Amino acid sequence: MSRYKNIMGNFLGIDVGSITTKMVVIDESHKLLAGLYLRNNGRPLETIQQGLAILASRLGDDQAIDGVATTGSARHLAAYLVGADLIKNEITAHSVAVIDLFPKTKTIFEIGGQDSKVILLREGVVVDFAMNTVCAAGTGSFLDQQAARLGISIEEFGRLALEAKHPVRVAGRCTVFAETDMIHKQQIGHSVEDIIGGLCDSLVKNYLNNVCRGKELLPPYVFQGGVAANQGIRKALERELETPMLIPEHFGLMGALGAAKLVKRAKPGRSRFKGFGLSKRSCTTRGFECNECGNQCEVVELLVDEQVVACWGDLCERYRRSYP
Amino acid sequence: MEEKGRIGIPRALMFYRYFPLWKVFFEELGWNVRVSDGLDKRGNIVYLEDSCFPMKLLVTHSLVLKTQVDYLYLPRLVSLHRHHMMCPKFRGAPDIVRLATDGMVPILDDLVDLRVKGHSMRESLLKTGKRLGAKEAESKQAFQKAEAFFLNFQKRWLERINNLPIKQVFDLEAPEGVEEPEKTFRVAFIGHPYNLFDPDVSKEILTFAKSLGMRVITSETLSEREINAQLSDLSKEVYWSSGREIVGSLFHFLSGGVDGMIFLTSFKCGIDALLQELIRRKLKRSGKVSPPLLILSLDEHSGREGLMTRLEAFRDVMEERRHEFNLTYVRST
Amino acid sequence: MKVTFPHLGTMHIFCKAIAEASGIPYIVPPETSRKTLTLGVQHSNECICLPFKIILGNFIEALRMGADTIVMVGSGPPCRLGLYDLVQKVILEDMGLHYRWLTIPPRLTWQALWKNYEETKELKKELSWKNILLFPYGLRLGWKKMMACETLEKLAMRIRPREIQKGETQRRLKKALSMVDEAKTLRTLDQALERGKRLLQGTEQDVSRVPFKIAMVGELYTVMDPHINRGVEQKLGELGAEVTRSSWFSTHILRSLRRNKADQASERVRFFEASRAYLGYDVGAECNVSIGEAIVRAQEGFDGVVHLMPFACMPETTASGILTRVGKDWNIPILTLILDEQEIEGRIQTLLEAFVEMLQWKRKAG
Repeated sequence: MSRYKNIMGNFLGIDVGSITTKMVVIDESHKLLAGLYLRNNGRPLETIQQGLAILASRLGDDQAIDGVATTGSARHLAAYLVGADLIKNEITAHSVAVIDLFPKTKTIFEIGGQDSKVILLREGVVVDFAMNTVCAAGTGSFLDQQAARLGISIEEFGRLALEAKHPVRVAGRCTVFAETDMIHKQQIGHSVEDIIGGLCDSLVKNYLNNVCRGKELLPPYVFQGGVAANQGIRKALERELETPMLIPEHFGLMGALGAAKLVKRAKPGRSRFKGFGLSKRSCTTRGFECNECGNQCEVVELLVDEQVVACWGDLCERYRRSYP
Repeated sequence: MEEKGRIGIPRALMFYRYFPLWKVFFEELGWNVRVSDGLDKRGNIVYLEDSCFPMKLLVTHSLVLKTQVDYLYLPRLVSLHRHHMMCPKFRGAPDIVRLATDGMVPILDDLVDLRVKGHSMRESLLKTGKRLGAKEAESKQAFQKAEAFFLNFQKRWLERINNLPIKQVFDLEAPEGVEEPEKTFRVAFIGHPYNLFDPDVSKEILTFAKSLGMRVITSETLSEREINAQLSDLSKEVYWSSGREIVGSLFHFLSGGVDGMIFLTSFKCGIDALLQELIRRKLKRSGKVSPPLLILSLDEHSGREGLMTRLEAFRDVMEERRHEFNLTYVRST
Repeated sequence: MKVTFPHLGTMHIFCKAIAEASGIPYIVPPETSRKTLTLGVQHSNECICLPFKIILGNFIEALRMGADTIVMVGSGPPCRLGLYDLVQKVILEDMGLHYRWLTIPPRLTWQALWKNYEETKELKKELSWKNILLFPYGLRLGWKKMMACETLEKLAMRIRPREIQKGETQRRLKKALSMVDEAKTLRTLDQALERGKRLLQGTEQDVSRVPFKIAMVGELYTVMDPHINRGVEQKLGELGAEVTRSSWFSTHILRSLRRNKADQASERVRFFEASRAYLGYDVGAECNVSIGEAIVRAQEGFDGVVHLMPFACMPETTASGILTRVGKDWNIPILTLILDEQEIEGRIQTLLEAFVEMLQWKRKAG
């Protein structure tokens, strides 16, 4: 016992979303030792490996990790791959991160790539939440697509939105509608800034009307998730709610941060983490279509060094298993 | 007569059929009737539940009125027909509005259910009159006047809708409007009245249609018999009165008398979704040559521009068709 | 003649029993799958409710396998369910599929019988005396099987939150249900049910756990069919919640026969009465019961309510608006899940996990 007393424990949180992967390492006192934010580009496995390599280079290969937690929509995949001690849904992970940082928060707005959520807190406890289910209109991917159509980068997008003088009204249920409407607005001579301003308004309205429908939104508000980087969206939110937003310093990493805090709290006896060396091993998936029933599931096997470590994707759980 | 106070009528749902009746009734009883305006410039809508657009508009309009009036008039419209009924959302509408307005304004929500004895529109209004402190004789007289006015309003419906800007059709003080020049096409506009005549829903498509040379025909002009005749061969009875009106009038106009039909549906309207499928399939199966049909799905996200483009294209289709078949019409109106 | 029926929870088990015991040839449609849903979606439009799409998919698959007579429980106004058959018939005809359609009326009235008369007349020609004589026995066997399935499912709902090996209850339930399915006579059915119960009770359990109590309310097809709700009942159970629901085949059948047992009647009546504080009229379908049940469950000390509805469902849309207020007034967390054709298993899992976790926070905070 006394041998370990002075050694600080370090905890790794990994948040694998649909578009990006976020990783953080914190120490016993919740200090952020390293954090990163990577685009998946459709290859989450490689991205996780790449992330581990970057962390190792920043912290040193021999950095001990005392606990790993995964979160995000691909939390199970990530957990199988790295050997996680805790798998936690992103709603809880986000709340935990915010509660420690801004204990008085009553509402968390979280807008990510394909998911957007609202979480209501009262006295440091989650009392209600919602997440978009059937529609991606109020999410970051909507902005990405519209920015691409206008031929500008997403970074520029946020800046230009601030320059809008008279944001136009853009239809925004889905990207197709928005496109027709946007083209029309361009054709009748509205400035790009005003159109972008309109797109931001449209996203925020959609988000507030659909995801936050019927929820009691009370300040202080925390705004986080990848889209929080977008000044235009932030301003639009503040305009609608007539209250400033608190934006955490690591707004994009909050899910990973929450996961790391949660695993620290859970204090696993011995971490199952497979080590940073995983980034150098071969990690692949192979899939096959099961023809046992009409579901025709794409069953996926995860291989590390040619060894099957997990299998999933089958609705009936015929093949599902994981190897610790 | 001295003014007793204000009654608010939200400009939504069945306002677009019964407003003349309701307005005259309350005014006769000495009340001032206040109607909400259309949406504000930013188009803000209140979402209480994820309903169809017209229902969201009802909530939005009621919220605008809640601080301006002594009562909100929002009858519980369960059925407006001897056998058939309204969409289930109408049944809970007063309750939804009561929640949304937080009980800040009393709601006059007397039941209208024509299938049951004692709940006709007249009896419902008499009850409302009583709640407002009117004597029965007063209410009866008020209803008589209101009904006469309403019937007269309905008689001039087609002229009103064709000669007046759409926004003024339910502005009862508006003059009759100028006789519009003869139109090239007769087009039936089909759909729930609160889709067709609410400019916030239909994006004033009727105004645009008129400017494209279309004379607007609506199912209001058809008799119940004409509608029922078209529904008799269905394997099951359509039990929503609005649904019957839509399917019945659509098939009625298909058999002739118009150059084209436009069916305005509400995205998320359960009735429209189901009947649309029925209509499409039936049309396909009948294989008859019939006037072209355009189905437009509307909600708070639809852009005006997209609608206009399609309407223009539709006019071209009608034109094309007329040349192709060398059609000539004897026009009665 | 080959009879078929849609999949809905365990309905195929007892429909099959009725047909089999009466010697009527039948085809059970393949278990509802992605292919079923794809077929249903392809042949209907986006705003028609999910149950419609799935049932349509079942019929298409069954007819393509050679079925020629569809048996479907009818329903009445004011919701869309009541006109499912009208529109589905037109769609199937348009697809060039041939079939006969037999609607079991939702209420046994003379008008309903008269309406069915034409269909039945056709059918009678193909039924032998033996079929007709055996039919009452078939009905009895079917009814008993339905009750047996419900008993097993209810038992599984209690065991699931206490299971040590995640998923074991579900595996055992599947097996137990197939034992009931295989029983051919009333006597063997009794034995099968007993064996099934024992099998389920054999699940290794941690009896010290105090599971959360969650009520599932909402549109009845969505509540009853795990394919439509993506296994919400199982998922909640495996997250450690004891799930309760009031929608069962027996509830709805007894209700339509107006032969409710006193307890069931009083339960629904109680729910309905409780909704009056929020709703001044019967909106139709399950709307009032959804609201009332949430209130009653809150009074009974339940930890949470999960409200299920198909996208654009008319009565439940009204319910969802009111339930938001009910949750506040009665201090009970309510999660509304809107289901549609998209692949949202992952999202539903996330939402349910977060919901159960929220209940844990609430419990800890006292």
